[in-house]
Amino acid sequence: MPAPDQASLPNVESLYCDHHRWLQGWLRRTLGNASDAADLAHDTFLRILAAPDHIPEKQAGWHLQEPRAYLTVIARRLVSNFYRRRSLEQAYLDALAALPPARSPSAEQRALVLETLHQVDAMLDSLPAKVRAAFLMAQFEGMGYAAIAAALAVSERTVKRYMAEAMARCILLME
Amino acid sequence: MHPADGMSPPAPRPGDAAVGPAGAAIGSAGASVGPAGAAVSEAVALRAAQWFFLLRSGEASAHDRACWQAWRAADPAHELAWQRAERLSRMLGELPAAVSAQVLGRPARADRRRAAKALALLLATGPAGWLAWRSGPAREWLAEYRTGAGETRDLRLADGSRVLLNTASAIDVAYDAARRLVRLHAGEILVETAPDAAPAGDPAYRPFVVQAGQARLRALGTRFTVRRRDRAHGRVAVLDGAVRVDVAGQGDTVGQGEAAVPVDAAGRGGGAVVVRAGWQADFSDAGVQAAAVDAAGAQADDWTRGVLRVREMRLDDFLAELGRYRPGLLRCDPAVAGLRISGAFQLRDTDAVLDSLPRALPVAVAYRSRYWVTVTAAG
Repeated sequence: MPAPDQASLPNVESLYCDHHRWLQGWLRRTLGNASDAADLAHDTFLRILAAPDHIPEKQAGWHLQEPRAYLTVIARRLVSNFYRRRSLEQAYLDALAALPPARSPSAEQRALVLETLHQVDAMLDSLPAKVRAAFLMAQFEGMGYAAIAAALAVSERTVKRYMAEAMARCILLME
Repeated sequence: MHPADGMSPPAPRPGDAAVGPAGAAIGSAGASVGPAGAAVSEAVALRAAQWFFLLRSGEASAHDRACWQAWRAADPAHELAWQRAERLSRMLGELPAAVSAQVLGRPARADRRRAAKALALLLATGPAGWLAWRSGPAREWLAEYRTGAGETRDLRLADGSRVLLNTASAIDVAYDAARRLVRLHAGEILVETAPDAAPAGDPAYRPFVVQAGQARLRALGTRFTVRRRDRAHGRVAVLDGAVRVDVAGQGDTVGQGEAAVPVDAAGRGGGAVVVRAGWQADFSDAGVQAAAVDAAGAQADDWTRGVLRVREMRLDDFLAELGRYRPGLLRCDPAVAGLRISGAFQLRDTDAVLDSLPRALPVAVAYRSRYWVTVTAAG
């Protein structure tokens, strides 16, 4: 996480003072939950503080034309990410519940796996359903391209293209 | 840069709460910057991915390997992309396979669908499409819209008409000075036509037409669904108003009762069939067959409410229908194909529907993987 840029701090501070309460209200209406709303409002400003230097708004010293619209763009993604993470955790718990107790991972292992799953899930999120499905079948279900092609009713050539597309998306989104 | 508001939110960082890949879909510049300042473009990422799969396939020649090395050395961005590919591969390798398949393959829930919907709306009403339409009403404006298995999409067309795409569907929209044409390539749509700017009868009036293979369906002020079963067969169901069905190169046209009256545009009693509200018609290259819709049964637009309603349906037919709404294979063992099923089923969670089958029928559901499911006899 880059260190906050000292020069633009006063502007972020005034952004916070002017709009934090409004943003928290907006999030509360969106989420229907005050404590999640407080967390996500906080995270929105953390995100701005940690923004990389090449972001045009940061280069402009956070003098935003429409600060509330900008904040809601970031907050919306936080909300979507929040829901996605929650459904991922639930799916992980469901999967663990189906395992025999002897194979149940330790708490540390769980945390590590969950974090990695979350990263992969986020990277695959915007892919079309079939591309995502093909990638998961190859990576985690040990299916060959021919089997995947049959399962998705596409050609093997298309499966190859799907695989490259999924991997490329991940490469693009990785740090 | 950002179609909705012209802003450029921070670059996408997977796993980072504030900027998820949703941003990559609608707002990123298509490049991500690495620690050394090298930028990985979409093209470079794709090339790295292609190298990765070629090398892993075991089919790479010595020449391929030399080219790969040269590619990596040619640009710091190439090397960065390659390292990410390797790191990703290690990450995936460390995950427990069965659990990960289940977790990452979980059905798209409401949250993901909401994001997809917002994006569809943006595409449908985006400035590019609107400007193209406004700047040249005489010019054909072509657009293509698709949905994957389990997805639906709600489109508002340039004239205000609404088209809902059901699962696994694809359409082109071709509007020009003479007509409003929607080509249905696959799947199913619900159409709600808006009146054209010019009244019917005016020379400037543009009819609203859905082309499904050989069949042309002309809306006569209306709300209707069209489904293509395959290249040659389809069904139209009319909810309001009426639709005239023409089959190019048709043989005999069969119209039953007062709901389906053979007419053509010039009133010469050609091969067209007018299907009225509450009726549906199956069309194929051979002609059109209309029949009244069973008022107590399923509604043609049930899917727009996310519901599949069936009564005494054969299990194999039911699974074929359900299979439209999920990726992968859904097979029915012939031993249980003739069992009958009734009920209303929620399409947004087809896993739950499958899970419920053994409670209703003497069947078992075998998951070879989440994408390969077979329904067999119980026990």
